[in-house]
Amino acid sequence: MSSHGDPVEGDTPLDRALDHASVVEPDPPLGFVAGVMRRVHDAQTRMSLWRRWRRSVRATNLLFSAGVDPASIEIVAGNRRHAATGVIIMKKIVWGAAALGAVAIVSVVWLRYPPMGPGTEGTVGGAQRYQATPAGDKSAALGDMTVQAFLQTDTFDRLIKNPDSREVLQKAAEDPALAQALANPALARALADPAVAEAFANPALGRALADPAVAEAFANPALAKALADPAVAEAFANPALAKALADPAARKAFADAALAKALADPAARKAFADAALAKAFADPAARKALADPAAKKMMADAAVARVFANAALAKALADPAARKAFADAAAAKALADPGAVNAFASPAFAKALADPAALNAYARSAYGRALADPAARKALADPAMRLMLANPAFSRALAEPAMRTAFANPAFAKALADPAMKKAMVR
Amino acid sequence: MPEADEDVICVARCLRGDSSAFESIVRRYQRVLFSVARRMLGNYDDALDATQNAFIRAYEGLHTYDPDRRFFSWIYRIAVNECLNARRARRPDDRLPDHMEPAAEGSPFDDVQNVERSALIDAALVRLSEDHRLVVVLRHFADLSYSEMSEALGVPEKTVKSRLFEARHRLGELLRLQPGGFDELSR
Repeated sequence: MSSHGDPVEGDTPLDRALDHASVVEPDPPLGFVAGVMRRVHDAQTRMSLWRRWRRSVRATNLLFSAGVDPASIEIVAGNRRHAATGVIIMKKIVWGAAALGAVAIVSVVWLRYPPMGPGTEGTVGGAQRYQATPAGDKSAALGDMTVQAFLQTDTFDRLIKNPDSREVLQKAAEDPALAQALANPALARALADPAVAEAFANPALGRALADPAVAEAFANPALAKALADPAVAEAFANPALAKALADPAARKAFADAALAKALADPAARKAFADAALAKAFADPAARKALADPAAKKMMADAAVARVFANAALAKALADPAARKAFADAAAAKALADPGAVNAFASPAFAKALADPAALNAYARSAYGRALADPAARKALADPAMRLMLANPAFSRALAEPAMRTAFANPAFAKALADPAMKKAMVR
Repeated sequence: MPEADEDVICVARCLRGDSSAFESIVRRYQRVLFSVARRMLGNYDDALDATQNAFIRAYEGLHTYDPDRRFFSWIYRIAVNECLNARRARRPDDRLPDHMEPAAEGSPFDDVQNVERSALIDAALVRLSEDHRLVVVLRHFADLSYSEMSEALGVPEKTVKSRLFEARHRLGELLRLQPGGFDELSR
């Protein structure tokens, strides 16, 4: 052993000793091979068909990998039958599985067995699974979402950022009546309307709403109900109306319970929503007239409301002259009379007012004074008289100063009340 | 036909279901595997069981055999693992016997002197480390070449030589310390 890496084997005493020992090395006992082979056969018998088939496939690959000709494998006689058994059984299994598959396909396709109903997709038999009813639109009860939707709009954002609007809201919080009004579902829905919200975001309207009288008016359930009407809501969205409400007199008019009562009528609301009327309200004179107690009383009349609902009248009132006439205190006082109200409520009269000449006539203060006379109002209340007023020629006649002077004459008015006279004029 | 090809053909037959083909494999490797098992376990009966179990496990796992490797290397690893399992299965206080049990039967000679020499060698081998004992057994009792040992042990050939050198050196020392002396053995 001259070097560390070389065992230096040879005829050394150690090698001789190991050779002696290897000679007497005991062999496995006799019957060892037979015992092992018995266990090998048992192991082979216990193997599953799948494993036998896998091993058979591996055998072919093994011979190819080792470069050995598969034909060189000759299964010795006596073992051939045993060795072939696995292959034969495997072939039987493959053909058996194919036959079963064919029977299954024929059964399902032609015989419709097992029957397949809903929910059996992908299964052999119908699976009875629990299926909960899907959540519907009524599964979760929701409140009125209009207000929530409004709170998420840009309009509400502007409303909150507006000092005047905030003052209104603060006041609403402090004023139980106003708070109650704002709590009204109808008003809430109205406020949720983008147009109304836009109107409330208008600084002018904000200042108007800050007026105690207007606030009180909004607390009126009737007005709240009126605001719920889309047409009225749209009217509030009109900048002209908002500008009008900036006038203390107009606010005072709006604050009157009578107006709220009037707006409860659908026709009145329709009139109120008319853009032309809104423009009329923008006229200081008209607002002054509306502020007159008599005018307010008149507007509270359902019939008058219907008059205002007339598009023609609204159009007429858009004329400065007509508005001037309405602003006349005497005319307002006259309008408070049931007869005059009835006259104004006539569609024919409204149509007459649409004529510029008639409007011009009305615009004269003398006409207002004439209306102040009970007899004249009584005459106007007569259907025949209203029919006459609707006559364009008569309207044009009224435009004449003389005619107006005559019309303003109490005696003429008294004469007009005479049935015979009316009959004559209508002709 | 080379021995390696014979092994592959036998394995292929076994894999195709001809279990009798395994008999030639058992006959070819029973002695060396039993010898290794006996040197590892130090007990004749345990070595017998371990060798038998190793053959059965080899048969069951024939499909995992890689024909690029020598069959003996593959089945030798199985036998070694089986011996290791057998040793682990022993109780902790069970240790290798101080000396190998003498061959109960199958000893070709009645020469008492040879039996005594074998007993001395066995006693010395038991005192070697496992790695050293294995290289000595594989080299001198299984007659494997260095390359075959390298493949069987899974270590480079250079390591095999180095390990065998150290094992022989240690074995010589142990035998010199034996009563009767080394000279008596080598005579």
